[in-house]
Amino acid sequence: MRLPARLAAARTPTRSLRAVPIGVQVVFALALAAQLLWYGLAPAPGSERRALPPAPPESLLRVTAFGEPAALARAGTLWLQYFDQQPGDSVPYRELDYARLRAWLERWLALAPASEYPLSLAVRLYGQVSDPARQRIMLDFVHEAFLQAPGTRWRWLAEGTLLAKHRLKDLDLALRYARDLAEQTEGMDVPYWARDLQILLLEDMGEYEAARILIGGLLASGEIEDPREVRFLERRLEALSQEGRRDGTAPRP
Amino acid sequence: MPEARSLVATIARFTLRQARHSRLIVLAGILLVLAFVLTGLAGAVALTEHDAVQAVLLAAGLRAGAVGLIALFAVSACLREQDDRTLDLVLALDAPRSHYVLGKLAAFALIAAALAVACALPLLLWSPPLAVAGWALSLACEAWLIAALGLLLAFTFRQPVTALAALVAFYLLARGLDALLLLARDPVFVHEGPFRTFVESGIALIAWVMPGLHRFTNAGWLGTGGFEPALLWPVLGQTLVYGALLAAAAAFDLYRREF
Repeated sequence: MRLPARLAAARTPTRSLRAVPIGVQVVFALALAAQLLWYGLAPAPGSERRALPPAPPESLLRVTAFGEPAALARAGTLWLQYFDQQPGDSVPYRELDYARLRAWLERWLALAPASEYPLSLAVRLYGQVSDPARQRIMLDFVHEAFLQAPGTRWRWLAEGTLLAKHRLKDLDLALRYARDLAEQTEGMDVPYWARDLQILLLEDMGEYEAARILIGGLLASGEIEDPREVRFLERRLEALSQEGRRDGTAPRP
Repeated sequence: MPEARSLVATIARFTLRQARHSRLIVLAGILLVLAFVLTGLAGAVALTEHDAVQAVLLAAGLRAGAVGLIALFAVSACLREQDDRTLDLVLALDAPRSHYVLGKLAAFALIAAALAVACALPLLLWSPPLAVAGWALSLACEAWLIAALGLLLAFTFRQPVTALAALVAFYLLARGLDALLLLARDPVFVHEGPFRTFVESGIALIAWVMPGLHRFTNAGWLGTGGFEPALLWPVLGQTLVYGALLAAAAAFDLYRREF
C-alpha cells in the first residue's frame, strides 16, 4: 500500500459536520465568541517592579539543576540579563542591588565555569553603569574570576582594566589589574597587547621611568619571542625615552 | 428530561467509580505526604517568614501535583473507555452524545473539588482559612478545566502519549501566558529579524483562545502577598467561559467521530 493510502486508512473515520446537532454547533460558536470577548475585555497583564532576589547557595542551585548545571547556568544568566527588562517595565541599572547581582553572576559562573557569559555581562553591561561604586563591584568580580582561571579569562580583565582607566578614571586600580594580568598569564598564550597594558598605563600616569624599566626588563629577559611584540616594545621604549628626555628623567645619551 | 438527567448522572457515577478503581485517592494521599515532607524540609531551613515559605512551597507543589493527577486520570479514563469498547455501549443508548460529555464533566468537577479540598487542608496549618478557601476554589476550577481539556484531547488524538504531551504543552503555555504577552508587548529581544515578528504575533494570536491560567491558584495568596476575594472573579468567569468552550468542542468532536 502506498504511503498516502496507508495514512488515509490509519486516519480515524469522521462523520460529516451535519452529524453535529445544530444546538451543539450553536453552543460551540457562542462559547468561542464568549472566550474571544472575555479575552478582549480582560485587563492587560500588569507589571510590578521587583527587586533582584538574593542569590541562593550554589549547592541549592546544583540540586535544582538536576544534573544539568551548565544548562541551568545558561538559562539563569539569560534571566539575569533580562531582569532589568521586567515585563512591561524597565529597571535602570542604578536601581539594581549590585551586591546581589554580583552574587548571582558568581553562582552562574560557578555552575558553568567554561562560560564567559557572566564575565561579559559584568564588563559590557553592568560595568557600564555611571556609578563608580557599582562599577567597582563588577570589576572586582571580574578580577576575582580572572585569578581563578587566568588562562581563559584574561580578556575580561583586560577589558576591565580599560574600563577602570577610561570610565572609572582610576589609574591605580587599572594598573593593579594590568600587573595581575601580566604576572598571572606568564608563559600562557596571551597576546602582548594585553600583557603590556601596564606599560601604557604607566605612560598615562607619567611614570616614564617605571615604564622604561619594565620594558627593558621584559626585553632583556628573553621571555618575549614574538617579533611583533618585541618591535612594539622597542617602539614604546624609544617613545618613552624621548618623553623622558623632555621631562629630564631619562638618561642623556 | 428526567431520563437525560439520569443518563448524565449514570455516566458521572461510572466515572467516579473509575476514579476509585484507578487508586486516585491513594495517589492523592501519596502526593500530600510527599509534598508535606519535602516542603517541611524547605520550611525548616527558612531563616524568616517560616509560615509563608512553608505554605507557598506546599501550595505550588500541590497545585502541580493535583493538576497532573487529574490530567492523567481524565486522559487515561477516556482512552480506556474507547479501547475496551465501553464507549460504544454508551453511545449505542438512545441518548444524545452530548450527555456523555456532560456526565464526564460533572464527574470531573466532583473529583477536582475533592482534590482541591484535600490539598487545601494541610495549608490551613500556615495560612488564614479565607485565603486557603479561595486558593482551593481556584484549584478546583483549574483542575476541572484541565480535566475537560483531557477529555477533548483524548478524543482528538486517541493516543495517550500525544494527548498528554499536548495537554502538558497547553498547560505550560496557559500558565506562562502573562509573561509571554508582556514580552511580546515590550520586546527585549536583542536581535531583530523575521523570527521575532513571527513569535510576537504568534503569541498575541494564541492568547485569544487560551485560558488565562496565570490568574488562577496563585500560591502567593497564601504567603505574605495576601488574598482578596475579588481575585476569584476572573477565575470563576474564565472557568465558566472556557469550560463551556471545551465542553462544546468535546461534544462537537464526539458527534463527528465514527466508532
